[in-house]
Amino acid sequence: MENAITVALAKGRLAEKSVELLEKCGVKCKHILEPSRKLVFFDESGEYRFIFVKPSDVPTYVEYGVADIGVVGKDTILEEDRNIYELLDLNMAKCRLCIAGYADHETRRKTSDLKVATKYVNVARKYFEQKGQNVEIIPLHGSIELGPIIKLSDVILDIVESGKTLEENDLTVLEEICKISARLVVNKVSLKTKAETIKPLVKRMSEIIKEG
Amino acid sequence: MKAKYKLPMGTKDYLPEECYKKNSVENKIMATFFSHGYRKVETPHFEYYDMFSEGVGEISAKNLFKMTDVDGGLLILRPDMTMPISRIVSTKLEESGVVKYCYLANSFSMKKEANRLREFTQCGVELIAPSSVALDSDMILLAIESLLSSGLSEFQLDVGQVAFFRGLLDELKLSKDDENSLIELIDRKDMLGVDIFAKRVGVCDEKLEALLRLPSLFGGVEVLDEAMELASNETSRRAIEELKKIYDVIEECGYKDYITFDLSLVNGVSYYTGVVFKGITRYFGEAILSGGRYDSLCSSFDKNKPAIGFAIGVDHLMRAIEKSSDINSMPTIDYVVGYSDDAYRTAYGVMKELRKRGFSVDNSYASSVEELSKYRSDRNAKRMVFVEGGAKDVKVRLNNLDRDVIIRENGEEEEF
Repeated sequence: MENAITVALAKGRLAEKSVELLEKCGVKCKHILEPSRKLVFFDESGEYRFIFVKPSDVPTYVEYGVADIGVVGKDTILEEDRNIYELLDLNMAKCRLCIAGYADHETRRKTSDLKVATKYVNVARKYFEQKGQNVEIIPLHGSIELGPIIKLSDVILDIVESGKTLEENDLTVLEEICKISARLVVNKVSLKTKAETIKPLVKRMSEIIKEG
Repeated sequence: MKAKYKLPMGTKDYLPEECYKKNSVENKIMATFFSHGYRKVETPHFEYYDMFSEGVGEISAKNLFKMTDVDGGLLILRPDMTMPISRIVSTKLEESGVVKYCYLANSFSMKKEANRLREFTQCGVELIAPSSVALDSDMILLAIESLLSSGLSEFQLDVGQVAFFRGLLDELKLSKDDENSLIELIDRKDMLGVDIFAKRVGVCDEKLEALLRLPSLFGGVEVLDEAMELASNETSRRAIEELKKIYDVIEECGYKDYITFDLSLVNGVSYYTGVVFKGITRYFGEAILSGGRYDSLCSSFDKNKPAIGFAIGVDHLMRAIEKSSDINSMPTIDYVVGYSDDAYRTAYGVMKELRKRGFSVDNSYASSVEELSKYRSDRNAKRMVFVEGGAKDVKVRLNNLDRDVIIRENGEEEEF
């Protein structure tokens, strides 16, 4: 087990989908989803070790090499901006990264003092920098939609799946920044030093994704 | 703890045990450099900003530590040693011909994360000489020998050639900004990103295939054949041919097991001009050695001096070695010596004689046998010697020093 490949999974729904995909790849790891207080799990063969971490920490674990591979959303990868390989689009947990707000705020978006509430502070800074627009970024950690409703901000920058939450709060997508999906990320050294395990896994995964 | 007693983030103290281990690794690597004819140089820790304003390799000008000079000029703490050595070579050396310099130096880079060292130690070499298969191979072999000498048991050098990618880039005729985005995508092996990028800028199918396959061109020597199939221009083809020849040389010299290839090592494409390599090991998550050929760096000093070199990140290497094998611990002291209040002169004679015989001797300043015993066990010393008071001008013979000894007033040596 000492040479096990360590896999960092983002806690939550994405972890369930990741396990499903890994099972299809022949990694017997269903049991790790059962409720438990343990922090570290092994698959049946002992070849893989799993850790569940906060989604935003997955790129960090992988950059430092304490996890060899990880599954995480492109939104987190963009926000964290780590020095890692982004090997596969896993074609799941799809959504869009958007600017949303009240439709009639269209005019205010052009003014210089636009207030943006978001958990994606770095993405927001870069995006508006590229547009050449001065904004005030208000960092929030949850219920971002509240921002415009209670007039904390003019707009929000957040991921949008179905758009239902926005709709229910009378908000709409004003701009789409990019499409988001889950990615397989790999430590830059592990890919080469543990190639005998990681390369075949990546190959198997990409075949399964292609099959749909 | 009061903030004023804390260290700034990204700096660290090396206490004796760790400091000893670090120095011993550094010394072994430097000895390897010296044995290959490299001569050590030192340069100032700070220089003018202007020389570094374009950034150096992977360090951008934004990440330089900056200070102002008395006249308001901008100074920086050096981010690496390659640029200072290029400055020496370009401005201070009249003669042309081969120059071999090595260094052991601390450099500085501004990083935002708390646990990244912002002051770090590097051991490295710079060889000022035009490219040839033999010379570039020799440099890669020196990199392997240096890591072997450090005591790291398992590692590989991942070798690339930026000219392969440069050839491809030149064919694509992209704007500087687009080039940089593409470099970043390839460096992350982000095939989806490359695909989206290619569609945006309008890359033809044949080139798109090459770009999409580039991130997976890593592994054993067989990837060179695959790369050759994709090489659609002279620059790229020559780059692969050169890598093949270098591989042959390294194989003949018996080190092929240490070599792997990755043609998507493109991060330094604006800095490096030919072969590039990174030392990696399963015991650490980041590269421990980084190097390559940089033929155009000296042109910023209006000199044409092709060069190749590499640097070993000592702090990273240390962490890898500690996981992979035991580093020699600090050697224990041979003798601790104590003496009663009036016996310093005699004790000094004893210590001087022992040191002359090649032993390490630690004066405990202890004035009783009890104190000395405690000091000895604290320091884990091999032997102890206690000199009793009153003895003046006695001739200490130091005959039986393979055990703990009390030297009596009359000069007799008695075992404890």
